[in-house]
Amino acid sequence: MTEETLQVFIDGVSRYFEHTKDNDLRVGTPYLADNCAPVSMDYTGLIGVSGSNKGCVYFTAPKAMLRHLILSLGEPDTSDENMVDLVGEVANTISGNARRELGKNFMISVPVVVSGAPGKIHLPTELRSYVVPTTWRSYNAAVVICLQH
Amino acid sequence: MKLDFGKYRGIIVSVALFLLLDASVLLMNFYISFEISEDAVGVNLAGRQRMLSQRMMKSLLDLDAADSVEQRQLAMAELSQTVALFDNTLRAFASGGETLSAEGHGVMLGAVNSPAGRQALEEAKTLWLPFLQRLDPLIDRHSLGGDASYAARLHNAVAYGRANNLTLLRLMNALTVDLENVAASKAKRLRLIQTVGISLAVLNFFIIMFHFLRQLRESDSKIELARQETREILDTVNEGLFLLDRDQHIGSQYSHALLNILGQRELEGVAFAELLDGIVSDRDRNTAAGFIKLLFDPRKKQKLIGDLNPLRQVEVHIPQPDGSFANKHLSFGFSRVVIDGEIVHVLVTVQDISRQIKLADELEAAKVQGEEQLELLSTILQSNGDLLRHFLSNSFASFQKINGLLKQPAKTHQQYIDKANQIFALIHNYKGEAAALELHRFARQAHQFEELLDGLRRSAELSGNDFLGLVVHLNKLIAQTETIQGLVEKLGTLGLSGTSQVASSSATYAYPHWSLFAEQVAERQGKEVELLCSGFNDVPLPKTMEAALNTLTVQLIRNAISHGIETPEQRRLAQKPPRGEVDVRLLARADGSIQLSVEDDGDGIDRQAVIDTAVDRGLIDGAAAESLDSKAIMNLIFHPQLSTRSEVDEDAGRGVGMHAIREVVRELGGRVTIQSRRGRGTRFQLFFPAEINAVKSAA
Repeated sequence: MTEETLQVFIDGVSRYFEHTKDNDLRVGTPYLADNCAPVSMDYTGLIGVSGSNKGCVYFTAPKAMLRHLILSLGEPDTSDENMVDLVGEVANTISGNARRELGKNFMISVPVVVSGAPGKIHLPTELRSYVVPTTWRSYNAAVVICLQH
Repeated sequence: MKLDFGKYRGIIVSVALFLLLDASVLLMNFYISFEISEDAVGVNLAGRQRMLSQRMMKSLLDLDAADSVEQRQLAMAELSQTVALFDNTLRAFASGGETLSAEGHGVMLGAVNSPAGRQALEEAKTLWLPFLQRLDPLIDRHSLGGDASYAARLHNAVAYGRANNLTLLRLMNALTVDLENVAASKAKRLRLIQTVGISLAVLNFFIIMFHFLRQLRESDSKIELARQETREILDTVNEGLFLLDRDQHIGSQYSHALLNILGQRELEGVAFAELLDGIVSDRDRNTAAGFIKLLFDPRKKQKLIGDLNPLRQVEVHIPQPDGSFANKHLSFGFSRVVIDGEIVHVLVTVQDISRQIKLADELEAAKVQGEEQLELLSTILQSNGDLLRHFLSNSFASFQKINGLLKQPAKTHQQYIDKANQIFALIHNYKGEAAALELHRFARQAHQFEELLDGLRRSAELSGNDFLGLVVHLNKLIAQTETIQGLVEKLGTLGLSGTSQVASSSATYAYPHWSLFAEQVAERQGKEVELLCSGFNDVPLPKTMEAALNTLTVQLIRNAISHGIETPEQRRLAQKPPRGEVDVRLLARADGSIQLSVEDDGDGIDRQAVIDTAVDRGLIDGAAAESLDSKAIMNLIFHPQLSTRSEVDEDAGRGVGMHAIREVVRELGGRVTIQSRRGRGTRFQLFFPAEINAVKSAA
């Protein structure tokens, strides 16, 4: 997996935040994480990738951030459903960006939103995933990329 | 469609026979009914003869008994009419001819042929002719009536009539009966013919029914059997099979495997382009449509256009119910189906060649990996197993530390620079150890890693995203280190190389690799050096301490050669032997503390060069440089961005070496001292407290 590929996924998230009022999504230093203990917060929007690179990419964020984000988008309803929708939308933007940039070798599935315990995300344990911490306002979220080459 | 007459000849002949029979019966019916109707006329006229014979007799008797002229004329008229009619009719019966019907029309009668009829007619003729001879004069002379001869002739006729009247009646009756019998026999024959004809027709019908029903049943069962066989083949075959018509639609029969391969439920009548939609690229789909069109063109040679098949080997992405995609490699084959010289269909075969492709890919990957592993393997086999294990465990520890550093949040540029510097120190030590063990591949990669870091350190503005390339590189390093560890473990179980476990005590610890390493560094720099080691096998050390000492020693040896030892030329000019010496000693003091010293007989530290470099790099300003004391100058050596070497190479130049050393020593709770005399040499002394050693060993 190349730096360029990773960048496409990170850009996907940044692209989503460009539409928010506070478009300053700050990208932290990426690091590696063992897949035995995947990074996961309250809500996770996950897209599966097949093709020459197999695996998944997900955006995970805490409730507080999503609530704030919903409000900043001018939507007063901060229900769980809306949070799920929002995370799904971020995942959708990631997948749209990846489709456009990476072409047909990356077959990307419809986003799935997982909420709650990190145990619900299963990643191939023999691989490490790239964790890209992001900060929006004072909230920490992350883009996690785990692709087999 | 052309009708196959041969196949249907039986039924055509049978039906024709059926019609012929019906027509024959109808024809016979016409003919015989016509004859019967003729016979009926005969029977009627024969009956009239009976009546005429009696009327004739009555007229004769009336004539005989007539009192007046009117009566006589009436009787005569009657007699004349009846005689003429009787005679005429009798002749017609006897030899065929015309007579008058009851209605007064002329009617043709055929001569009676039956023996009984002929006999009755002959007898009647025998009686009738004499009678007629007696009657004729009466009728002719009628106008002369009243004379004596007339009376005598009348009397004669009456007498003859009386004598033969009943016989004549009987004969005419016999004729009537005979004619009736002939008609009845004809009617009987007609019935018989009809019965036989209809029976034959019915028989024929049943033959047709049974024969053809059986044939139908047989052909039905043959068709069913063939259908069953086709179904079995289509259900069992592993390839996808189907036919395409000229409009490129899928036929009704296709193999079960096709559904599995393409993940579809129903394909009958589906357009081929629709089938490919979304699973192959639009370009391939359009090319395939054009290709199939060519296949239907009889002027194009199949062999020549075969290479145009865009789906010979194609990667498809089949949507799954859960929204994901199944990746497959498929091979589509196309063949014309020619019947009577006409291309009616194109047979398409679809094979799932994912496994073959995967195997080929794996083979290729294994080949590449094998080559890499072979290189690693030769390195491992040449290395000291224990050292290698040290190296590996050190490496993982370093990688973990690097990853930990990456993970630490940073906001300001300086924080990012610090992060880069800390990572640099770790990777630099790793590089040194890799080089010392002659793991050149790792040393090279660590060097690339350093280059990336160096790029970062020079950036005016740093952000987290800039570290992305570094993380990718780190992942690669970890993966390769894992590979080599896997190999070492495998070799360990095979009992190969020096990889068998040794006790944690370093009683047999040997450092031949340092000498080798020193020689290599010296060779690269055009220097000559001899490495002297002592004390390492006398001081028992815990594993962690061993690893740290190894890292430090390697780094210090490299520094001593790179920075201290002069080239043989320079040494000769300085009245020194051309071969420099690096003396490495490990001492254990009575209080348990450890002292490592690395001393070279090189040129010593050029304090002015250190100050100039520090000023050049902006680490200190010119004014501050003036007031630096000896200790402060020595301290500059440990700054992460100081190196007095003008060129960067695998061994030195980035100035991180001393910084990395101090980081490790600090982590172990030790301290570093430097003693240096210009032109005489430099001694680095590293002191480690006993408790650290004890704590580490307990851990």
